[in-house]
Amino acid sequence: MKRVALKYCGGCNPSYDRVRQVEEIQRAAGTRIEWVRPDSAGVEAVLVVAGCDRQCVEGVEYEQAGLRVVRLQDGRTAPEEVVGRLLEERGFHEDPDPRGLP
Amino acid sequence: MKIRTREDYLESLRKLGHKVYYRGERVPDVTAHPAFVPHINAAAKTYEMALQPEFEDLLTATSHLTGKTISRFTHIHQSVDDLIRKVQMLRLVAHETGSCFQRCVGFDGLNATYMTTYDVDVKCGTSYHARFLEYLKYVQEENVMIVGGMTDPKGDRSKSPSQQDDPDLFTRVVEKRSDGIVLRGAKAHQTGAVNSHEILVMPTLALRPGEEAYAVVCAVPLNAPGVVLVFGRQTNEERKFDSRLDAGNPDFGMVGGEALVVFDDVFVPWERVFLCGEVEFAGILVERFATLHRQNYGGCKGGVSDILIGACGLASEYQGTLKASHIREKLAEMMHLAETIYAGSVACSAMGYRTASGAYYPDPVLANCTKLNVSRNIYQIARLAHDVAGGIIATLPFEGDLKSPEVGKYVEKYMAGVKGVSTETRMKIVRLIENMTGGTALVESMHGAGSPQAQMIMYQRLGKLDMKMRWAKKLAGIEE
Repeated sequence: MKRVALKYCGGCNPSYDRVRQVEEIQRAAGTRIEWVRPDSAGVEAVLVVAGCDRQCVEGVEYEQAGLRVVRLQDGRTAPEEVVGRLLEERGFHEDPDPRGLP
Repeated sequence: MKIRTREDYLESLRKLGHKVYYRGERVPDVTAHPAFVPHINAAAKTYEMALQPEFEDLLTATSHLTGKTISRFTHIHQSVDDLIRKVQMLRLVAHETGSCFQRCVGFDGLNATYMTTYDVDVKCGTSYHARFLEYLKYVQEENVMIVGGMTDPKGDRSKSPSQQDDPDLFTRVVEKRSDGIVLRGAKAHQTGAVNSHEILVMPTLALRPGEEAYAVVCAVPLNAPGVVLVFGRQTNEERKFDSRLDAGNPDFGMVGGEALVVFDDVFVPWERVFLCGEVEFAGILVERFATLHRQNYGGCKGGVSDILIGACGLASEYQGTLKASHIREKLAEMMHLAETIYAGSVACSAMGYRTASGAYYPDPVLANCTKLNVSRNIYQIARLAHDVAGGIIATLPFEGDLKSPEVGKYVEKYMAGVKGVSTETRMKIVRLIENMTGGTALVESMHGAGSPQAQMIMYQRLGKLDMKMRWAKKLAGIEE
């Protein structure tokens, strides 16, 4: 089971239901992912959930710490695809589009 | 944060034992009184949301004094980003409550006092700022809810505080002792007062030499001997008692729940006194508080407007008019008006700057502009809401009629809208629109954070008319 931290933006005026989208991702992940807070020990990857294109939370500090960061900024990406990206082993440097999911 | 959860907050109010009066009677426990529960629920949201991962990024901040995570409502702005986050937070919380959640007033009082006590000490060699920092640490640590106590009753508006027949119509110091001061007077329209823990008393206007007794800033627990709170009656007040449907927004009520806070010779120890007699700083303190408070209005009212626009969309859907082009246009116009006020709040934050104290401050002219627009746009949004939703807002029968064994079937039949939507559902959304667009809800947009004329006066002071005349002269080739 991979330890993945969940970091939300504040959600001032989101363009999709962030919490519902994350719940769907969590359902899709099942037992493959253990969801923890960003300040937890042993975090292997971070799902950064932004409510809109402004991405108030970018998660650069997690990248700098060498963690895999996957960013969500809309409700259109299939949950299974997000889970797949989180479970990938390669580092963020190889991500073709570090600002968002393709 | 000692008060962390909703239950912590409710328990702290039960223990407070402050003297609150409703319709002439003392209320022993505000958390159990239906008149106050909606306002308490709204304020409690500010505690609850700080603990929710999906909201904590806006609802919390890092204290520049202790490095600890604190409620943003107790934070001193350390950057332009902090100013913007404040506005974002206000819009966010309004989405959860649809009404005022009351904590911004104390928040703004803390920031205005922080900046001003610093300036007073630099000029006068006093130690107010150090005192205030100790108080601020306590506020941040305990996460108490503060009333921003600015507005005095004012009596005869043509007279200054010292000219009033009754000198108590502006809050004043009536006695200075070795251990503190004695305060007499009152603060009017105090948002969230019955469900707050302390009041931060500030002067209400600029003062002149001779008016030193009125130049007072101090923090007073609301359960201090001599403090009495009298709750203000709101539009449709009794609906809080009647039923959920007729209340419109049954869980969170309407605006903030305002009270008259009376100081009947209240003792305040020196540790909680942050200005006492320095009249030349009263004006700047008032201006700073007003600017910080006007900054908010595009945030919270923008968020409340989002709910109202959504409610109008639903009302239209339920009565089969949502696809009509004029309805779509009116909903778009409402959005434009809401985003306009939000844009003002963001703009005055983005153009904010660092004060000598280190705290950041919004652009005062743009904050002023935002609040003046709110006093207009919210009325216009409400007008459009009435237009879109229809006359049913004013004529809808009672919830009791819907549930009546005798006439319920008629209400069910004749108040129905489109197929597939129950009459009760339609009635709920109509009542929500009524709640958000009538009486008290509108007046708060007009007079909260200062009446429109106060904003006009600010334009006359800070609007740079001389520069505008100079630019026009240059373009016209006038040299004299």
